[in-house]
Amino acid sequence: MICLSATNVRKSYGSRVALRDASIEIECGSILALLGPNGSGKTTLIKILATSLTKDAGKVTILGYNLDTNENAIRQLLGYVGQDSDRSAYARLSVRENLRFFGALRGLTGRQAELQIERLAEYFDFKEHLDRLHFVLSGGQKQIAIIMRALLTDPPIIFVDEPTKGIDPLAARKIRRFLRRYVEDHRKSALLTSHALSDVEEMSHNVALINLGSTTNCGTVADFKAALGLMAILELPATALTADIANALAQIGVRRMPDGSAGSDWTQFGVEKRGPGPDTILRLLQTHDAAAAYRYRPVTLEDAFIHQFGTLGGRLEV
Amino acid sequence: MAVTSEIDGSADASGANFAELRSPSFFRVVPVTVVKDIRLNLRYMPDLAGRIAEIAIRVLFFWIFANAISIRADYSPLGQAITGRDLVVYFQGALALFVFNNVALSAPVNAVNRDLYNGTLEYLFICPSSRYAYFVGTVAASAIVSLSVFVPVFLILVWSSGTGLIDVVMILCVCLLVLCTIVAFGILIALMAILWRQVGFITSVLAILFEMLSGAYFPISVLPRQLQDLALLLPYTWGYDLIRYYSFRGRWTPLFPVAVEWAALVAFAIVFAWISRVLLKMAEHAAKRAGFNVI
Repeated sequence: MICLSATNVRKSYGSRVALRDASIEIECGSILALLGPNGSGKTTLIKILATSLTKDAGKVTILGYNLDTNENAIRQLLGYVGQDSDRSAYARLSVRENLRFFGALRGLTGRQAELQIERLAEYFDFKEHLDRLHFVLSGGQKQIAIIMRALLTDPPIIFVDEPTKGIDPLAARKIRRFLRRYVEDHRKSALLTSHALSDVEEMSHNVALINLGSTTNCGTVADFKAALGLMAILELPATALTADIANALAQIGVRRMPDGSAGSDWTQFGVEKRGPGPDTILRLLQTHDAAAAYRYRPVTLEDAFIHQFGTLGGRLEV
Repeated sequence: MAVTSEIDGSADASGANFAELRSPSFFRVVPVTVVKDIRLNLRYMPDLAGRIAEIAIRVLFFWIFANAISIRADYSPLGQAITGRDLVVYFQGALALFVFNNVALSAPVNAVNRDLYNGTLEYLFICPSSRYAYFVGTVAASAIVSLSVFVPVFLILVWSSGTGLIDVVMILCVCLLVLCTIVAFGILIALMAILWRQVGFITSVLAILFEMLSGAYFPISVLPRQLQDLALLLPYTWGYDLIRYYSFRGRWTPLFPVAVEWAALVAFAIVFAWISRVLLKMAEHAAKRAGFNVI
């Protein structure tokens, strides 16, 4: 069952086109990640869906409500976590005071808000921070406070824009797990944007790609990785790589990845699905005295992302 | 975790059924905004101290100024000599409206600036609640803070000038009614802040213009004819006139019959409130077209 459908959404800021033709669908009970490079239109789309921006054209339906005619009803159905958690609550109010105020603006009575705050604080292990002022919280704590605000009315759909931006890895992992668990435990649906592909891989069920304001293929995370057509990635240190090794690898179907060595001391090779197994590759490297340092790992979402949005247009070098 | 999935309509232990949540009413948004704003005011103590000091200095200045001069009968708008005590009475109305004016004009724009600073403006605009009520709440909170200091001082001033209790009550009623009309002006300025961000200077210019035109410092009868007509379009003019009528206990001749002036103030309040509501929607639409993050 589809709970959110956006079709052919267009948006311009003056003469600058932010969204050319964006279409996505979210299945109820799933998390869709919107992936794209900076300036691709991810945040614009999420803001349109959250009713903080108006679209120029297109149709959006959320749980049967049309965005053009039922804006307030849709606002009741969604929770929104924007990018800037550091500056999206009253700095000199405590977490509890912020949540009570925003809960009231979303229609909760004082008692309902208080009960929900306590429950969410327990769920997010956040009780000790409820009465601290927002500005004294750490980045990760602020983000949890903002996520709690989004969940105050127990909305069926949650929009999360860059949930772990500027947050240390430990706090980021905690937030990822909380969100994924919450969505699964409570049968919610979510739309996520993130440049941290570990977020997407850990949290999302489905992925939609967006570039230059247009969405392209959608599918599961596994589909997205499979589209790369690779079984694994081989990484060799640049110092150990010779032309002979590269040629020998190419002959057995292991080819250098476009942008695979950009900014790194390691060069990446893609092992095609019908290519050689790790033993064959190891033997080849041993014959070239290059087996001392190499990495052989599964394809990640980051590989697929770089392949999709890389400067060489996403094709393997032949 | 006890939060259940209420989207199917089942109520949880608290009796909350979030699937049936409705947009909060005007009368729910105003008090929660008042509480929030008063808390915030109390947590920015230097700013609060500055506001209190400003009111105190104004009161002191008016008192000294009024007691330092007197007006001969042939120059007097009352047709009789005006003593320092009369001038205290004359300016006390101006003082009251000045404070109310400051509250109503500045509170909404300060709220917008604070929400832009805190990054809360965008979130406020995706809440299913009345933005108009939110701005009214900010004005009410600012009024409570300012008037909690001003009213006692004002009452002492009025008492010392010999004005009767009923007249004092009437003066405060006029001030409150004028406040209702000025709120609309304040919200209009806040709209400019939503669209253009920095409008503090515009607020100051408007406040000065309103004070000059509407007879805060001198009667409008001394203004050129065209400016007098313009002055009648401002609720302040009617407010000042009524305040002086009650302050001078019948010695002040109002521009129009007192009942007409009261009716005009009520009409101003209704019309301006309607205009500001409409314009608020238009400004919101414009801001959402442009994007809150780019304004």
